[in-house]
Amino acid sequence: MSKSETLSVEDAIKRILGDHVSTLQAVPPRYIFLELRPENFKYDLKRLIDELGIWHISTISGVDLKDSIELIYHLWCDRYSVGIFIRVKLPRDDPKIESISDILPGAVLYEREVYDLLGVRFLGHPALERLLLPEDWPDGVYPLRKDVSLEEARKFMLGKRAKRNADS
Amino acid sequence: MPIVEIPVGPQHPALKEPIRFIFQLDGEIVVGAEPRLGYAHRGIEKLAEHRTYVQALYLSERICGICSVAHTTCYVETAERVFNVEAPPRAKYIRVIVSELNRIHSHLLWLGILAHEVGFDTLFMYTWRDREMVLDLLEMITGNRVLYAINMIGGVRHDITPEMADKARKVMDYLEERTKYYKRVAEEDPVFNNRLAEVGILSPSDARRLCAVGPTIRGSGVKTDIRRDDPYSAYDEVPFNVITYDEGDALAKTLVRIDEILESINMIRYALDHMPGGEISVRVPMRPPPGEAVGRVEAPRGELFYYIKSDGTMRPYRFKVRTPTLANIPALCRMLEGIFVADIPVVVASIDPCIACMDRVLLIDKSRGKKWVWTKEELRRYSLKWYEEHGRR
Amino acid sequence: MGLIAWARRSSPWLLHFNSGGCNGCDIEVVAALCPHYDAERFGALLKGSPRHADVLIVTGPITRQVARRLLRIYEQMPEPRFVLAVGSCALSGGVFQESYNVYEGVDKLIPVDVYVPGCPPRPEAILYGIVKLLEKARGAKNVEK
Ligand code: SF4
Repeated sequence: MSKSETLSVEDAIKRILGDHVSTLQAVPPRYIFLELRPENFKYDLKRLIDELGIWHISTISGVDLKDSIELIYHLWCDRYSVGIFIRVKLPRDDPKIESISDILPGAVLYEREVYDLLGVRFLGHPALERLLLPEDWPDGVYPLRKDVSLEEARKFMLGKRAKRNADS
Repeated sequence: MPIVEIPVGPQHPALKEPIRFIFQLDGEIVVGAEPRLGYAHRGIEKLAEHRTYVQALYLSERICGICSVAHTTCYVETAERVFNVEAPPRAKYIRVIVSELNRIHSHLLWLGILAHEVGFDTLFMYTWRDREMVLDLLEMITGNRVLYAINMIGGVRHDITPEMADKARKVMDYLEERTKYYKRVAEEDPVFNNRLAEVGILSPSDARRLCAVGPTIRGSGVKTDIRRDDPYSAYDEVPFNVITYDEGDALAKTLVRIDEILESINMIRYALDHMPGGEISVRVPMRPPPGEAVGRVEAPRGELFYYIKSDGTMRPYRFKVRTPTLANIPALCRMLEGIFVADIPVVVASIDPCIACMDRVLLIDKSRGKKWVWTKEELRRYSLKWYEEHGRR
Repeated sequence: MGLIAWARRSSPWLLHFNSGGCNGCDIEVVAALCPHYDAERFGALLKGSPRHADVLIVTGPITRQVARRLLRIYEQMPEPRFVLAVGSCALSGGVFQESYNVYEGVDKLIPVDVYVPGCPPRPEAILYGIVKLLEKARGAKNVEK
């Protein structure tokens, strides 16, 4: 991938999103990170997807930044052969964002995963349920948050076991 | 509504792939499928935040024992981007060779499982015997049969000597012949054709819409392959074809995998002949600079995705993995709609969910108030018997 | 020795259970049963149902979700039952030690007769484990009840 083409996709993104995109950083050879604001996130994303002909989402990674929760939507754009990684920062005490599962149905499970492990609510998701954690996992404890230590997370399990041993 | 619950047992490996389905049935026909995951959730992502970068490498290898090289390759490629180092060219070629050997072993293993599901146990034994040859090669190169521990951040651990290369070439010749035979079996054998053709069809538009990956989407005629689109290691230097078939059924996915074995054999030959000389590893500091990186690798089952964020300490700040089977689950649910109960094992196997381990199947037909529990073995026997009685649909 | 005990030690029926491991051990267990290594020459036969099995082969670190299931399967097996723990995970949790979702070893939940270490153990080691287990079964005089 030559440098000029990477530049042109950056320009294309800027043209589509205007000043809605706050930071845009190209990582050669093929990746671009950019940040969007949560307010019109879905509208912006839809325009990007439509105009660049994106159909593939690799996953959504959630990161607990201690003062906020950052989601990164990892998209792949076939037309320019670039990975477009869209950041959005959410408040840590009540993280929520509109679900994109209607415009990119492949994201359904990824949104559930982030909900399960980080506690981000996706508004308008068809079935926002637990994906990975056991059914008896306590509500409101999200293992990938930084304030849940490994020992603490482990205690939930050990507590359970101690109880069962006592019962039997 | 008649509901059938099919727990696809916790007998399934990689990070979070063990799944279980709630099926809705209308008589013999599946009308809806809903996945439940999480039986093998081992908390690896959290665990890795408490390990150093070197320790996390071993953790990542143990996410899945079948595509272990894909996982470590993805991990080291991503970590090298975080550390700002590059592996020497010879190391990159060795990564390609070991990855492709791993792909051959994984596809052969899968072909055996599929043959077992359709009641063709002879083929199962054949492929597993040939697979041992690949494992012997891998053992010769890396010292291990399953978890190779060949990759390290900044290179590889073992070199490939000329004697090893000669041995590998001989095995490749043997395997090529065998694979051509398997291809003939898949195309001509009536058992295979009867059970696989026109079963579990995934249309190209559905495959794209649901973001399927790997042989699953290539079996629907969509030409995408990380090795070509987003090359890593030495894949930009090794020529190969991206295999696609247009039919989208289980047979197309089988043929994609068989052809991929042939491609891999040629890639290994090319890489052995064109391997540059020189070092196989470079020194890497203990701590990376703060930053983040993304890595994508074409594992035998499709796109494998890693994201690593560093805060400048010895341990990763965030370690995120997305395994290919998870990406294929929505497409699998789509494929399961409208098929016969007897086809469930084959369709589930067709996306290659590591090992299609349905250990136990619970069926509840509410309309008739009936409830019965099936093990995976019984479901397989049921489908074999069903096909004996019904013949070709 | 009664007929049943004789049959049992001559032909143990195995049940293989993956409790959330990485699959590495599982493919080695299957490889051990395939013709190349051929566990069937000891009469060992893989079975699908716990009600028919004498030996439970457990791989993997026991995640929370499968723990209950493992116990249930174990309870369904007829006496005398034997447990073969295969792989570092099943012995101690292996690399997954300290994780919030694993039990770190089969013997935390059910008694284990033979441990096969390795990550994954070679098929030869698994065969050796099966042979050891048969010796143990032979020694167990009180198997008939
Ligand atoms: S012991 Fe090793 S090979 Fe076996 S399941 Fe555990 S991690 Fe995988």
